[in-house]
Formats: sequence, structure tokens, C-alpha cells
Amino acid sequence: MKPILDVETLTRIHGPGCPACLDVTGPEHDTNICRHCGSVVAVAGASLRLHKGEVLGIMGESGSGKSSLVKMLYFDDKPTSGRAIFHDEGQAHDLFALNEAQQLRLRDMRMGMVYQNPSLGLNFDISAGGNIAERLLMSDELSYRAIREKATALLARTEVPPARMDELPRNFSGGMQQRVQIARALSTGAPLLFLDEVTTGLDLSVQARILDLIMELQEVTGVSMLVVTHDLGVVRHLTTRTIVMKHGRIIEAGLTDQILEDPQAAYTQQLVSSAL
Amino acid sequence: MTETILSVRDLGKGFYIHDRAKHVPAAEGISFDLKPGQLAALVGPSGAGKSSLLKAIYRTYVPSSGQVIYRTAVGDLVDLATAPETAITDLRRAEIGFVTQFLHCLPRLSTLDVVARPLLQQGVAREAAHDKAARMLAALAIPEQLWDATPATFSGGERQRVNIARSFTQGGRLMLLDEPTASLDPVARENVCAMIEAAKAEGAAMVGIFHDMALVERLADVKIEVQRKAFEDVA
Repeated sequence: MKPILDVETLTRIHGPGCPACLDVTGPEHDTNICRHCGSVVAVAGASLRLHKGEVLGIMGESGSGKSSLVKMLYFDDKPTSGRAIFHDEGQAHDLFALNEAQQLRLRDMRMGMVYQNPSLGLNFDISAGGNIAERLLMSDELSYRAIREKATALLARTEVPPARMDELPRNFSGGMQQRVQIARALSTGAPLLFLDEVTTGLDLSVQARILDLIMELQEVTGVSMLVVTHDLGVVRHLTTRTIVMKHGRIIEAGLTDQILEDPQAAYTQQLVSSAL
Repeated sequence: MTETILSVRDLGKGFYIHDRAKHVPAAEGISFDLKPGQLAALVGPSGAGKSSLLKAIYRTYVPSSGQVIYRTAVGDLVDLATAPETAITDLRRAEIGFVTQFLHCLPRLSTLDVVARPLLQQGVAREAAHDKAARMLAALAIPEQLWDATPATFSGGERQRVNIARSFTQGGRLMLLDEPTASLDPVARENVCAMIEAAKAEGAAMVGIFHDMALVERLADVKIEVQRKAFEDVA
């Protein structure tokens, strides 16, 4: 399997930071707040490799740093230190060494993000179709007709009825908003997709449909995915490998069935055994 | 002479439960060799660690000791106990199958899709995958009217048969069977035995756990005795 993304000792500290920050935080100290300078160590020394076509889970409870990690990779936030290499179209992009224009190009064309909160991933003031078109316009697609056809096809694929294409997504149900977000994220054929708690807060039946849809699309497109979730069911259904985070650190990584059935770390054992 | 496909050497599995600071041994010192077309049956009392061994071979459990040397289709020797996770995922997709007692599936997929899925993931064309899936479902007497429905609505026995159909549709050079015939009626049990025998005849090697000793006598080429372990507290 070829790598698509290599993350090396990524660290994000919110606050002034001090030499002791990394030594006095983490699972063994049961905190991510530095007692010397009050900084929050959101992510510390996180390394991982994502392979082409692979779906990798990032699991952990609120505040474990899993979303922070993914936000940096999608350029929503900047790391304090560390590297990430994105292998794409025969090139190795050193993500945080790129200039802003290069970063935006990758973000618009070669990566996709589906947020927990659809208002972050969608423009609520333009139609569902317009949301797709907006992203297509940033790629080289220029003719109105071609864009509209492509948007219709994408929305159909994510099961948004064509009749609702010209409506504002703010009037959609939560599940349909997520489906528009997924269509938008997929629109440029990006090989790398980040999913951040995409089913959290949805009804169970809607969750299942979204997961099924994501799985289908993954199989058809072969897109590589980093799936952030606190939900063991999402991890079980979508991912083949999983990493577990706590207080900004990766504490365990393994095959998903192994993580769920034979967790090694004390924290993962608690997490798995506390599932309903 | 055919070459050994699986060589289990001194395999052991124990669990460390952090909450209780307790080490729970599940199985130790298991060794056996398997050639293509052979079936090894793990036999022993309930709680002896038979399922744990099966899961340790599949790497759902991390083995505590020993080696699980597997010869791949291209002739490489891989220790499944320590191989990189990506190597394990590749082998699971293409060569090593597991029949669990429980079927996890999403509510939207039809039974036919659930069964055909592993083949689709291997890149087999949709029609061919569905053909084979249909043959397996028919062989296990799942009524055709149910093939469009999701197995989430099925009875326990039906689900188990869907699961078996899926595993045998996928096939594999090495198949791990965890009580595939438990809770099946006599007709279904006979169908599953026939499938096992057919897969063996095609050269699949298998490690299995069977509730019924008559089945062990009928299907197994090798019998592996597994003993119950004593618990020990670790301070």
C-alpha cells in the first residue's frame, strides 16, 4: 500500500507555551493544560500514516485533540511544530512549508472536509446546487451548463432530490445538510477526505444512512479518509485501522477490530467497555 | 508434497485488564501445522480459549507469545502475530477469511450486497459477484424473496447463514471458522458441512471450532486439544 499522507510529530499548543508544556501534560498527567504557563496542549507529537484508499479512524473523547489534528491538516489551523507530507499526483507536498496560495489550491481541489456542523462546510445563503458549483468554479470547470449538470449528478449520488437543488441548505434536515456537505467535499474528485464527527447529533436511522453512503462512495471512488469520531459504531463500520487519542497524544493504534476487541491501553479498555 | 500453509508455533494469548490489575490467560503453548485442503479443529471445554486462539490467528487479538507463520499466495512467509497492520488488511481482503458468530452490517445494504461485498472489494465485477452470492444464499436455503431485504431484519439463524454465505463467497486460502454450525437446523448444518468439504477439496486450509464432536470427526484432519487455564492475580 502506498502512503497518501504522512504526519510527523505534529504539535499544537494554544497559549504562550513554555519548555515544560510537553513534560507536564498528557495521559499520564491526566491533563492537557500546562500548570506552569496555562497553555493548552491540543496535540503533541502526533505521527501517523494514511495509505491510498484507506479509511483510518481517529477515536477519543471530547478534548482529546482528534479534531485539532485534522483541522491542521485541512489548513483550518496552524501547527506549533511538526510536518505533514501529502503525496499527490506524483508530488510530495510538505503541507506546512507551502505558501498560502498553494495551501488553498490543495484545500479547494485535492482535499475535502465534512464538518460535524454543516454551517462550517456549507454556505447557507446560497442554494444546495450553488454550494457545489462554488467549489467546482474553483477548479477548472467553467461552463454554467457543465457545472449544473455535475452538481445535479453529485447531489443525486448523495441522495439529495434534484427538485431541491435550488433551495437553501439552511432549510434542509440535518441528514440532508450532511449529504450536501459530502457532495460538496467530493465534487472536485479529491483523493483525500476528512470527516469530523459527521454523524454526531443525527437520528440513529439517519446516521446509518449517512455511514452507508460514505462507505459506498469510498468503495466507488477509492478516496482515502481520516474519520474523526467518538462513536465506536462509526469506527467499526467505516474504518480498517484506528488510532486512539487522549490529552493530545496518540496512545494506541491498531486494526479496528483489535482496538475494539483487544484494546491494550488502560484508557482504550475503559473507552471500549463503557460503550452502550 | 504440498507445502505447509500455516505453522502455529507455541501460540499464547492472555489479557491484561488494567482496571483490575489482573492478567487473564486464555491459551498457551499451542502448536500445529496445516497444509492446503486440511482442517484443524480446536477442541476443549467451554472457556478453554478456543475462540481466543482463532482471533489471535486473525489478529483481532494481539498474540501474547509465539508465531503464526502463514505462506502467502505468492510464497512469502509472514508471521501474522507481528506483521504490519497493512499486511494483515491486505491478507484479510484477499486470502484469509473469518466466519464469526455475529453479523455486523448496515441497515441499508441488501442481503445480496452484504454477501457479494467482499468480492466487490476484491475488484470482482458486480454481476459475477452477485451470481456467486446468489448461489451461496440458495445453497444455504435463504429464500430468494429475502435477498433484497437487509439482514438486519432477519432471525438469528438466518443472519448466521447470511454470514456463512458471505464468508464462503469470499473464500480464501485460509479460513477461520468459529462455530459455523451452532444454532443451525439439521438441513442448514448439512449444507454448511458440504460447503466446508467443497472448499477443502479446492485447497482451502481451515481452522475451526465445532460444538458437535461428530462434525469434528467428519471434517477435521488434525485435532488440537486446548486446556482451560487457571487465573492468576498480578499485583
